[in-house]
Amino acid sequence: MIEFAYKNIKRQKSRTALTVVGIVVGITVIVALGSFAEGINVFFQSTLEFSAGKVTVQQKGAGGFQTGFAGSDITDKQIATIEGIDGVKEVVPINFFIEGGFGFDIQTVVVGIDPSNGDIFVGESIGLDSGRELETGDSGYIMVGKDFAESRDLVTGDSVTIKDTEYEVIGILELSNNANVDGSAMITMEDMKQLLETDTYSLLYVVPEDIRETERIAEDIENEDETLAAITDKEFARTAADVVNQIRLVMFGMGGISVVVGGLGVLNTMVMSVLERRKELGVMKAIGATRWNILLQIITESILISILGGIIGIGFGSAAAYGLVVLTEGGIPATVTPFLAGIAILFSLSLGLIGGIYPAWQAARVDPIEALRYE
Amino acid sequence: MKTKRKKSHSKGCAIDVAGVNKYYNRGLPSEVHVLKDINVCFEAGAFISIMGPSGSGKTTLLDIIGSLMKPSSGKVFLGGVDTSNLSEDKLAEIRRKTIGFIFQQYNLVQSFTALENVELALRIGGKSRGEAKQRAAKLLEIVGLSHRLNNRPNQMSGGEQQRVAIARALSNEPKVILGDEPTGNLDTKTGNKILDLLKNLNREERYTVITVTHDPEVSKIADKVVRLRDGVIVSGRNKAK
Repeated sequence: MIEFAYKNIKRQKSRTALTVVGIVVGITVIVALGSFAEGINVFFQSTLEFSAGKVTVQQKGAGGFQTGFAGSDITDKQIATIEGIDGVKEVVPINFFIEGGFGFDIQTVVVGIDPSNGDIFVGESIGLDSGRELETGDSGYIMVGKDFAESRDLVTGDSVTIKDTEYEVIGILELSNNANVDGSAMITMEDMKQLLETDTYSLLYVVPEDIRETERIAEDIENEDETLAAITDKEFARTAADVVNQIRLVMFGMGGISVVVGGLGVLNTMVMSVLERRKELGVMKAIGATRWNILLQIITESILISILGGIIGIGFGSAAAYGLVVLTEGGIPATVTPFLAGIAILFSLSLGLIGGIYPAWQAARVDPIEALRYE
Repeated sequence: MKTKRKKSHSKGCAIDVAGVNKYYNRGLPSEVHVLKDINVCFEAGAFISIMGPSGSGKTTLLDIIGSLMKPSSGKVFLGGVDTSNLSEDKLAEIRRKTIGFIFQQYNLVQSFTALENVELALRIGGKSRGEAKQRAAKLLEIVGLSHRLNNRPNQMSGGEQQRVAIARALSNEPKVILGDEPTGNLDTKTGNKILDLLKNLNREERYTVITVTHDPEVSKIADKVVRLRDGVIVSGRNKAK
């Protein structure tokens, strides 16, 4: 009798609306945080693929390119030390410069590379969308990732100003699906050193001669120079998994609290509704409704409220996810997967069930004689 | 003067009450013996009124014959079925299939239209949505309210509301219509019209009508008047036709 359930929840419009809002908040939190966790996961996966088999070296406590950078200055001398370690094939230094990226400000990431081994950063299989690759000695030129170009409407030949210095776009990379590459611009290391007015490097990629020795080389680097942190993709995967798990934990914690609050709202509304409708429930019983009929009727009403809240919550949560993508320039590709939407629907469904069961049971127990005569 | 009847149901009774006693607060100092060894046959197809002063037990008797309440002892046969030992849900099924209730306060759902109030009863009775709508409209036409289908109770007069209640009572094709002071809230003229309608349903459609009432008009048109005093039937004669 869903048509009557719908009519019944429409009786107290503002009360129903407020209850729905309570659920919307809970489900929005779950969907938004969930999409964020998904996004972070995708981000880490792409970064992980790209750092496979390499050792990433930075100064201890410097944060990182992947997890937010706090400044690191590795010297040529330290590079020489690492190059001296047994099994190291090559050491590729990288410098980068990050500006903006807060609020709706477009984040600018510029990476200084040595064009002769720029593939270490870009990825070997990534070709060009237009123009040509950055080459050694290309001072004053800049090569940009696909997202970087699109967010600024750049085509080959345009000029970009970084920190008061103008560069001409020499090439635009094809989409790599690695947020680090797609959202960045690359200039030569010489230009970068000038731009940053520094002789040091932000980060090193150490390529081993034998990929099986990656772990050992990372240990050796940290033993040789205690100021450096050497991270292998394995460690990075662990860290990434930790971060994602923590986000998920926070999501379930916050989502759980919101859901409990929303569920209490449903409970309150339905208890009130049953109290107000005692007489009517008595009539329904008198004209032959069984306890089960009444139970089902009330639970249908509470589930209707919670599902409505769930659907709107998924809408808001998706909007929040989209906002996150825009805000981070695609850096965190937050997505509402069907799985996440399913979880949200399941949550709101159980919420309606939990919030509805007690009042429904109360309603089913209404004694028709008492309800009809003595009120 | 108590006349013991055999405690099985008699043929020809829509509802047969045999040796029924009802106590409230049984075993407590406040114990009340409301109905005392009631034996009465409510003949199928008859118009019967239950009369008596306040506190005589007439409403309790109506609740018991309407399967809303179980007797403390004795048996009630509804269409030949002993209802005194049935489960709550089984009683609900019996009410749904055999009894239509009309109340003094009409007891319509205020936020539903006339049509929806009748539809609700039909849906409880297991009719499909479309069937319920169609039949509800038909029933409201029978009670003379085809122009009021989409009005809510607060947009209707007392007499009209009681007509909706009657349409609702008829929705699942009951054998018996039970009225609890159906004219108690209406002025004489409107009350008489409701009685005419009930009488008509009784005469033309062969519904058994049983109403509790204070209204002497009801007893005038009734085939039988059951008079209660202090929980005892003082007269339950069939009137000569």
